[in-house]
Amino acid sequence: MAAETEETARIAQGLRRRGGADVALLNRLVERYQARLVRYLVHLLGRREHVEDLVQETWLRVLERGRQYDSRLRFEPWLFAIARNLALDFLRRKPVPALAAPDGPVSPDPSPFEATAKTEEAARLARSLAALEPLTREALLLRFQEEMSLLEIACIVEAPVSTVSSRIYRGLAALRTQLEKEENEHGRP
Amino acid sequence: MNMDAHEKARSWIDRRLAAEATDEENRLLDEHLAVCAACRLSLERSLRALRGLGELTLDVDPGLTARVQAAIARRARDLERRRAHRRRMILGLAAALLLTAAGSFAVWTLTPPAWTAGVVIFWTIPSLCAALGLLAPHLLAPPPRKRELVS
Repeated sequence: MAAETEETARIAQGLRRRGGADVALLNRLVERYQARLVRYLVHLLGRREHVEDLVQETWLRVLERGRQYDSRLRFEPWLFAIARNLALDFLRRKPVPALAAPDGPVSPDPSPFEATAKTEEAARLARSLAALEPLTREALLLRFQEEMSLLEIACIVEAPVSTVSSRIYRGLAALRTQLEKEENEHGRP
Repeated sequence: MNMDAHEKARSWIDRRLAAEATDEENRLLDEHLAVCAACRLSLERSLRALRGLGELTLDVDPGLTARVQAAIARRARDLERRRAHRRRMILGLAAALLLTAAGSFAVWTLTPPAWTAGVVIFWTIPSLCAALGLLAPHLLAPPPRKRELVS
């Protein structure tokens, strides 16, 4: 915990440096968080197109707005919040049907995760996730994939902790139902 | 066993998975799981799914990191140039203000009233209008909108 606080303080110091953010520090952060950021944005958009542009734009925002980073929070939630806001701005300009109409028919194309799944079980999980409502899926992934606290997720999605909590419960129930359905249709591995 | 008991058990399972279950809920859930195979299967299925989430990965283009780092370096240089430009602008503005104040004081004290009126009409008022015009876009900028994933 103390090491984490120290790390957060070091990041904040580097980002708020007088005369501009520490580029060497940013390069290290890019290496550390790139894969997670890509994964989160692909989940959010449901496709890979434009994700690389959004990733790049996210880091440029970090560079430009480093002074706004509040070191009371860990770096990841701040980074993911920036990425999320950019993704939502992008979706507002170019709506993705699967996100705009969560109750609509699911796209017949496999999700990027299903396409790259190495096992049948992973493919089944990816299909089940893709069938969830986007806000529910997001809360579930931030909690169990990115291992963020409810408070951190609430900061990212700009919603009360109680809302995040109920999205997670709803997501767990929906995921379980989806998996049951998948297992009944395709059989256990 | 009635349906309510299973539904309750499943909600305790969700709360346990989210690390939000109380000791009492955990105790009741364990008691239920000891006698209910269906809910044990349900817990196992959920645990398997959550373990699987960490294994959902994507192949990230190996060149992406280098491209992002190059973009950061370019933008950092650009920001540094902008900061230097802003510093020069501020220094220039400070010098102009100082000269204006000194000049106005000199005009006010050393020249007849007609000259003073001329300076106010042709220098002070246009300068104030220009300053307001430059500041207005910053003062009147709308607050950021709240974003939502689903409209």
